[in-house]
Amino acid sequence: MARRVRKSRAGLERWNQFCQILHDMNFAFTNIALYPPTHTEVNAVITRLHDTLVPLTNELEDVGFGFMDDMLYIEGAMSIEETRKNEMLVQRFAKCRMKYMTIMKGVRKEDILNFFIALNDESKKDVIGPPMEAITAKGVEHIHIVEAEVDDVASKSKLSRKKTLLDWYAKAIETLQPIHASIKKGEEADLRGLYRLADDMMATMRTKGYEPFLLLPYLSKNFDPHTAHCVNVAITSCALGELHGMNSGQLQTVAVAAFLHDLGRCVMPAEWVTKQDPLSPAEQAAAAQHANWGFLLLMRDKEIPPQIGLLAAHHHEGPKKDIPEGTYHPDAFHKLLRLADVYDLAKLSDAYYWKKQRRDRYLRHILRQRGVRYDSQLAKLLTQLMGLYPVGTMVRLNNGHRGIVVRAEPSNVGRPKVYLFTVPPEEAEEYSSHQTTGAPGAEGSEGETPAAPIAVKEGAEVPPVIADLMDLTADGLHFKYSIAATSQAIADEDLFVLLDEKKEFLLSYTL
Amino acid sequence: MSEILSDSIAAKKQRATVEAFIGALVKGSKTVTLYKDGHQIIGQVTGRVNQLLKNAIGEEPNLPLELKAKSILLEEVPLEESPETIHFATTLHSLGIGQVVLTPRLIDEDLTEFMRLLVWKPTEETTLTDKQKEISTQKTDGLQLISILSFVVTGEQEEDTRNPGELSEEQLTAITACETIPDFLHLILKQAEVVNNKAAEEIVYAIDQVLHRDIPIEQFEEEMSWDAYDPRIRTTWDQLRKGLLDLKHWTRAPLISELTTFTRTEFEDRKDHSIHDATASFSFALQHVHAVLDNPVGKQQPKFALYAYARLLEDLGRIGSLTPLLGEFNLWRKMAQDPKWGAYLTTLKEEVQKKVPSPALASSAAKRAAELDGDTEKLQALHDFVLTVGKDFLPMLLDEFRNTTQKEDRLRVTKFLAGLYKRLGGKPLLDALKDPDYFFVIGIVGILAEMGVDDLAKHVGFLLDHEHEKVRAYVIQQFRRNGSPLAARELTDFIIDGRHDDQAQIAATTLSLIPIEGVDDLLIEAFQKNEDYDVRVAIVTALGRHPGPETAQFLKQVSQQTLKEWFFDMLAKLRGAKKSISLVALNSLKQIEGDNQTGEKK
Repeated sequence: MARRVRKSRAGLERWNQFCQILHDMNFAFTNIALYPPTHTEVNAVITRLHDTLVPLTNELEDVGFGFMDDMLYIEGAMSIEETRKNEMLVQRFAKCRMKYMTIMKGVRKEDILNFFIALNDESKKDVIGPPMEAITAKGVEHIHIVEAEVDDVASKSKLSRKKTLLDWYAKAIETLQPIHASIKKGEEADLRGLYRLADDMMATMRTKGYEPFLLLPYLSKNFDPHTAHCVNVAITSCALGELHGMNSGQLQTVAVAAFLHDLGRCVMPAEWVTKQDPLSPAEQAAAAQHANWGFLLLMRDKEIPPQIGLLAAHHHEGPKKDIPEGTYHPDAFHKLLRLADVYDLAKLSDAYYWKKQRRDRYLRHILRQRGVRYDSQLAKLLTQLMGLYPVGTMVRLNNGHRGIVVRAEPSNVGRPKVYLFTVPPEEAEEYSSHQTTGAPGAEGSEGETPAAPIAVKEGAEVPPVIADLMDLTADGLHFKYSIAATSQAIADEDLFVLLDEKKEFLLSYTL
Repeated sequence: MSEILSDSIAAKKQRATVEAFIGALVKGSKTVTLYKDGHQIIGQVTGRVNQLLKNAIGEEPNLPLELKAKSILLEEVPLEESPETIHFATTLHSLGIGQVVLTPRLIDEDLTEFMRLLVWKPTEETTLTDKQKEISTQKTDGLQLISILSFVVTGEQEEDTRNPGELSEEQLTAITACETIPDFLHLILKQAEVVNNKAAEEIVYAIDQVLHRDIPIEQFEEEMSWDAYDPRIRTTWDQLRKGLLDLKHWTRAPLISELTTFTRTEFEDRKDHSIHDATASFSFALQHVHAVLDNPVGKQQPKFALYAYARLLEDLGRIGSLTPLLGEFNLWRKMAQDPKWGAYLTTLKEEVQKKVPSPALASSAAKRAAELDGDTEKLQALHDFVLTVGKDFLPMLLDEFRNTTQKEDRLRVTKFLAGLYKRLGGKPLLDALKDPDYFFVIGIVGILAEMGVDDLAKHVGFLLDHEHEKVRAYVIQQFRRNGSPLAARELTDFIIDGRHDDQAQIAATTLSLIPIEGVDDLLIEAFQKNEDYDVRVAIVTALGRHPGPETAQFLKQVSQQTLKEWFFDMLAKLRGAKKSISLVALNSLKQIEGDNQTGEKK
């Protein structure tokens, strides 16, 4: 379910502006279909749109609209009303497989006009091509489109397909691996898949939220560790960038940089990943060179911007004092990528190549070092993103039940949502979240109004018991539950297995 | 007038959103009954309806709907009747409800209950009266159902007059017992949310903002309505904040407090999204390559570093960024003696020659050359650079020269290219003389002339037959400067050829100005072989510059007209000739004799 933001008066005013833009876009699609592009009716609506967009993009850098599951999203919130009102827009977006559109600062009237002409022309075709290519061919600048994957729009009912974000994760790794391999070999890598991946993640996070993505690293198994690490860092970077208030373009760049930042590890012996012993000093020195190797390999490919190579080169460097003028110093991307990288590696010592600590311990290490080795406000944002008991941490509640943190609560880092795997079904009713937990394949299905009743299947999978630690007691005076301490797996408990059993629910946006 | 109009449009819009909400609510309530408690569809439907409710409430604190039989009144005006509005009104009316006040605080779960109420039917266990009683005493956060009875007694629904900070002792105890700032603020928020007035709304808004990173904690502290609360609330707040400032060892509670909110400094830092632009990134990438090449690890790294280096140089070449490339070039020159770099440079040169040449770079080089008028040292450095970039770069430079039209720039680039080709040899330029672009050919001739090519006439003589008159004129002009016997011969042949008699006259003048022996003979030869009247006039005029007995003898002959010559003279006059050949010859003769006399006097 999309994030619901309590709207202030100013927020409502902004919301109305966004709605107005959607209405005008709807109007523009209609007019473009009816009149020639030079007609006054077309010109009037394009001018109006431009007049509304310019001050907004000047203030916000960019303005984005999501379109997922046949539903329009404004500022990360689904709007049934606007979807219903803007039929022409919805029809064009659906036909052209639009997932997210960003209108950037500097947008010109001709960009807007050509955007509508291009999509209108495209929608008349029998075989629809990539919308971004269509608008680029028309010379449109300052408007970026993220295209929905063909299989995402192929079936309207996700309910039956049981598709989860884990499929996205597997696909991300599948896309990334050959790109890494091509770059390593010095072949010309087709980076379109990489950019689409970054775009897609950015669009989904901006539209529906980043929350379920953070659980993915705990649900991934049997993937190549280096590639999986790159995907994990991309997820964390993008989500952190979203909390940081970065714009769409910046989020896309940081995601691409994250996907490629550890390419240099491909020259390290593969067995190091499973090596239990510490590395020798010479091996440690070689391992430390992976950043340089990443840079060199990336820079060999002329399609990769120096900015991306540079981030790979420096991603392990912390803050330095007295940096000479004109030499490299960490920028916002660097700080963000570095924090996401160390958090996912969770390595307290360079002696081991791939020995990950518990995330909660590592987060505390980061917090102890904030302002010294890590940027203070970014470390704070990371904690808000992951929670003081980070997503994936096993915890024990004050009522004795044990569970796994599955969602963080940025407004109260100590009160996440916890999947209580130890709660017996007869006690499940006590936890209100149990009542509204989403079902398998439910993410993205919010927009689909069921035309006919769907009977609850006998023997259907039982939803997980979720404790929302923000819940108050009936008198509203106390929090129902709190975390007493972090916990360890007991006996044959396996975090992966526990999460995997309920993954369809846990990765759902309706949690 | 416009204000009234916009008000009415806004009101219409609001009514439409309210009608949409009621439509969805009633339809949703029917859907909800089809599913068991806890089914995901219920959550989805309720979520949607709640979103519509928030849209319908808009900027107002709540949405009061008055029920009159089968009508719903919004601000005393009935909503448009539809099956849904009728269902909504009649169902609630039958339950004894006269007014419904909906607020944005209504949570999904409570909205679900309300939806169930819309499809409720009396049963044996619960009669209609039971339900009416239940509703009249029921309290739901964010929703008020006012029964007809109480409506009559209490009058219209008004804004809550309670002070949002008015808390019971029990509430105060709970709030002041909170150990963390977010817990403390959350409890206050929950207490304020149930109060329906502007003061409460402001408190809720301020807390929301600080907990969602919209304002720094200091600003929240300044803006919060502390006066509305018991002083113990402020004291607790101060203690929680002081606890953070005085803290020596981080424990869980202060850590949560600290991590959930942002200070003013952190807030400002968070706004900083400054990133390295493309230029800075490029420069840093070059620095990094240098660093790796200076201190490579292992045998393979230099090789890969050189690939990376070449790619970066290629980028510079592609965008025509000459200054950094010249910087790199200077570095190579400095490092040439370094054994490590010496080894790199051989590989690098090959890569550079393969990847760096580009039209954009040629354009930059040409522009730079045009700026370096007279600065021989820098011009020399630019030559060295171009020669390093290699032979493939030269045609691009010539193409750039082709596009340089500004006269002064063209002159400077000509000088630059002449200097360059002096070092390389002019062979490629000779091939360019066959180019169809006459303007380009002129330029090439200029470069060759600037180079001071010894046998210029030999190479460009054929251009006197060029189809474009400007090329011919330019070559004639260059021959005057070149002044070689071969140039004189070429000019004579050109005059004799007779195909371009207009220019043959200029050629005659030019020929006469070439300071070599035997020009008079060549002019006489040309006179005898070209019968064009005006050309002959030009030759005779030109001969005036070459005193000598043979010239004098020839001019005498020309000045003494035969009948035939008189006839031609007349004919020429009729055709518009300004001068008579015999008179011109006479003048030239006088000039020669004058010159001779002056010479004798001297």
